[in-house]
Amino acid sequence: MTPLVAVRKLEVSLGGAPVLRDISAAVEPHQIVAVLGGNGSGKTTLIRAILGLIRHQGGEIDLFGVPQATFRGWSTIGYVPQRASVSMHATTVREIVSSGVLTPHRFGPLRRSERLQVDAALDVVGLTAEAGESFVHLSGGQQQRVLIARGLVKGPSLLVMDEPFAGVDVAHQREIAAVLDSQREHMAILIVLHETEAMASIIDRALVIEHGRLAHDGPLSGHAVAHRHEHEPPSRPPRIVTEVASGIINRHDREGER
Amino acid sequence: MEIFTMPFMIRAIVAAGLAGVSAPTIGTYIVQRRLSLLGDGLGHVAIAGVGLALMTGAAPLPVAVVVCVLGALLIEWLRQRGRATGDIGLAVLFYGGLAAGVLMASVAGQGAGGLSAYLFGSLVTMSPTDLVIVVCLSVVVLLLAVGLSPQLFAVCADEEFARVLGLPVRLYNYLIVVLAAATVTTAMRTVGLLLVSALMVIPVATAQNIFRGFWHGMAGSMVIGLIAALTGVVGSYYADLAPGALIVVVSIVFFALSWPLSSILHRNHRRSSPRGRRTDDPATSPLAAGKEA
Repeated sequence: MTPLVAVRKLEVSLGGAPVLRDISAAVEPHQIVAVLGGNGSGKTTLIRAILGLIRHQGGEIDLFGVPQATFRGWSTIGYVPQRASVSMHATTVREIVSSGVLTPHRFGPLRRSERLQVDAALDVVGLTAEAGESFVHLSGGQQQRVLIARGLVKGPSLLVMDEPFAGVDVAHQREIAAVLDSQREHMAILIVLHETEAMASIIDRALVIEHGRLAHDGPLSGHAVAHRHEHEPPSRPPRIVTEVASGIINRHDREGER
Repeated sequence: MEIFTMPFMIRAIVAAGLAGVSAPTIGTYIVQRRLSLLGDGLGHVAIAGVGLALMTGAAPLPVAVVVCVLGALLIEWLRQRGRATGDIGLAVLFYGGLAAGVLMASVAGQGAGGLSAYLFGSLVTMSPTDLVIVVCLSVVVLLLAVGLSPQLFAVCADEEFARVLGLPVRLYNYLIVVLAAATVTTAMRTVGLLLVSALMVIPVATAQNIFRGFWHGMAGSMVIGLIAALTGVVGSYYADLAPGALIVVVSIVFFALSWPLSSILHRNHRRSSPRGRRTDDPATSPLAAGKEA
């Protein structure tokens, strides 16, 4: 089966400084793949390169089996950016989600079928009652669900998400995780995460990036650690992924020594 | 109603009405992009166009349109390439355009005083030819700004998301600044180049206080801008005042009145809103309910 995303020997530099080096990975249909790593490791850079938002200096990126440079099927990809990157004041929830149905050659008001798509996406994230509310008046968790609905509205085959849990408490992270889990039969999800607690049980594979290099590509071995963390007192700060990632790497090192 | 018997007043009213509608329309996008002072910078560039026209003896309005559009394209080109931040680019527009305009007006023997009617608006300076240009440009601005509103909204609200959708984001960004430049110059005869930016921003801010949502806000700002522009032009005739200044003062009065109105509307909305149930509470959200079921 053709991978939805195939990255081979990817090299990305920003401002002349190398950020990603020799990254090779793939996302298969219906997989939920997490991109993990510490701050500045290159997680967001990887997905921005995959989406063509920044140029890569070396290697190849294929989307749905087509080289990225000639790929035109952007309507099959949903994108959920970091919440801080959007400017949504004086905008309602429905307006934001409706913008997700646009295509390069589509003009004019929404058709009835598209309005139904918007309704369905709002229903999936549980925000039907808030459709007419101002985005800025919602809580952080609700705002994140609005952006997810916008990413889902076209019914994409691949949903790319950049730290959707930033600023969202664990309870709401689990709600969002439940939404994503309910969509896995329709699409693959490539998700940048800083914390894995809420998603640990539904992640199929983890790509762990350390200092711009792929340090791990496989099952989320830190799953047990993250799961155990669920029973810790809520006042304790959430375990960050770097700890999970270093646990994976250390375990691999120990197994290698044996 | 003697003002409707005077051709120059009819021209001024038509031009002001069009500026009152088109300036807030394009202003809605500019405010969404958090570039509220772009209109001010473009107004200063247009002053250079007026100065150039005075120096060369050409008609001021067409020259100002061309110079302002070129300046707008330049600043957007610099912004897209990261060669200048929005602030620095606007500062260059402010001072370079103003200085060039005054210098060229001085060379033409008119000095800064010769620019006064263009800086603050004048009821008597609108010629029939100017009116034709203003009507044509305003119609084009309104058609594009309203017709492409879903695309322009997507680009202004979240540029990266619009790029992932495959929208021609660079083209739309250029279009927004060109439409803003055309709007600034078409309003220079009635509102004035130094004050037109207020008509692009204040009705938008007023509408955002009263209406909820991007498109309701845009429609509301068009109505508020139209009322302010017509009130200002007609009032300036009877009170013998500069029309641009009166239009801006009326706009600010509307903005001030929108605050208490906004409080009343929001209080009523909160009472009737489903958010009174706070569905972001995990215990009451539909998602949680679904899971429990």
